[in-house]
Amino acid sequence: MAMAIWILSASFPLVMMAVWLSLAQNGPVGDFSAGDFVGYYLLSFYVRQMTAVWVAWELDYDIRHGDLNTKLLHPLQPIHEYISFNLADKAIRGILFTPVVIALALLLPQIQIAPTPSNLVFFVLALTGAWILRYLAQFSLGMFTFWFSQALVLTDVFWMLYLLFGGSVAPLELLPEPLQTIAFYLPFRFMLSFPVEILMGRLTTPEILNGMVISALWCLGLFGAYRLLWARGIRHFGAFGA
Amino acid sequence: MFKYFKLLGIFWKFSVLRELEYRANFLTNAFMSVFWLFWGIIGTTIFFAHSDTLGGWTYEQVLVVLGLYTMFLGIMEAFFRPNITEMIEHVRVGTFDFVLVKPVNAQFYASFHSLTMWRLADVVAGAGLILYALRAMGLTPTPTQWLAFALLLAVALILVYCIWLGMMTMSFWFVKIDNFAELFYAFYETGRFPISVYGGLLRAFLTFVIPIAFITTFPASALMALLDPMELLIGLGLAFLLLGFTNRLWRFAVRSYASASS
Repeated sequence: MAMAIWILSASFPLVMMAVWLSLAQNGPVGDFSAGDFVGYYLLSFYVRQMTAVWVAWELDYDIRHGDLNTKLLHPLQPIHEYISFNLADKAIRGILFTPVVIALALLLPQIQIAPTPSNLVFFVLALTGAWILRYLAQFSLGMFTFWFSQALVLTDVFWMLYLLFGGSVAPLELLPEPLQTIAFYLPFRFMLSFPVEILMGRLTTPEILNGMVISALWCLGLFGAYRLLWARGIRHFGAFGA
Repeated sequence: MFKYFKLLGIFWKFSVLRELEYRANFLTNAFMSVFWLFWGIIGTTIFFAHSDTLGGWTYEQVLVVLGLYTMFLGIMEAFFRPNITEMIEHVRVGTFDFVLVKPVNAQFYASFHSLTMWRLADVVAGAGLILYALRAMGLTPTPTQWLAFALLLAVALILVYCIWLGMMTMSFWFVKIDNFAELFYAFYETGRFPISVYGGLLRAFLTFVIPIAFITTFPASALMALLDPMELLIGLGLAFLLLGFTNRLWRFAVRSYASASS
């Protein structure tokens, strides 16, 4: 029940889709027809569900309430425990949504996607990359609770930038300059838009490979940030109530 | 009646005093209000990069709607959210009994006991955006338009109160209703844009079932001479009906309330 409502309430992209559809009534907007918008937002809904992360809130709670103490006594680094809960959720969402999305893509003939075998392989890779990026970014931001009690604000700001520069407000191709150029230099594209672009057949193979490399570099960078913040934070952590 | 105003003053004074202990909250909330507002404006400009109008509304007209959206978001977060959170806790733990035995109307106490003052920053930011957009269009609303606007604001406030009271009442039956609030926000999200953007069924749904149109679109129309007087009448009727209905629902729920663990 609770999960169903959480999923329903991811309505922001649906509202954006409704607005784009009202604009696409009198012919395509840029390179996007009405059917392209539906396909784009259907796929981005799927990517968002399959990369959903909430670890910053868990970390914030555990650090402020001292529950992290118990987790630190376990023989593995706490991040493993958090990740395993998230992966279990992904298994459920995958079973729920994969058939729904496939059925919708087959039933709505105006949807234009390009599920060639190579695109599907690249899509799964890019989706995994998107999840890793979102996870590491949110974990790193959540760790700022070690220093400030209001650190969740950072997660909110991050979320808004993700909606804007990740391709939720609009497909990145439709962003006006200078927003489009800014989006190109930020990691948010690889957290949402990149896998969608692949499966819609909007990228050539060199463009896909190029994106994969940049995405992998962002993963490395964020992993470095995670290691650094964890090492510093844990030394700073005084265990509340101890 | 006078007693209730006095009580309201006392409730809010204590809420404010409690919040003044956490001043960093004020800074982060003010920062987020401004950031969120700019974010909304940038989002709106993206659509206008591809079209001159959105649902027949110009850029500045849509900004007025966005201003109302921000204002009511602030109002709901300041006045209603903290009370619904307390209500859930009262019903879950069973302390709602103590609310019932107080010598004040339980609905009044449950609806208005707490206030999150900092979120009023959104109200200020939204009002600022409305005034800016009106000035950018060179519009000065006539006294009649201001009056219609004031009436529609009152309608919107009543509707918003009814929706939150309805959700609070649900807590008697389904304890975990914070999810209901999330679901309502999912629909509220549509209030960023004028109702004419949405097609057919969705538009009717957002006008009459979950009346988001009366919260953001119609008060904005009133300021810009776009209002059909019928909309004002329907709004008043809807507010009246919904207020009667949710009050009854609350009373019915309280009568069948059997406390926790009994």
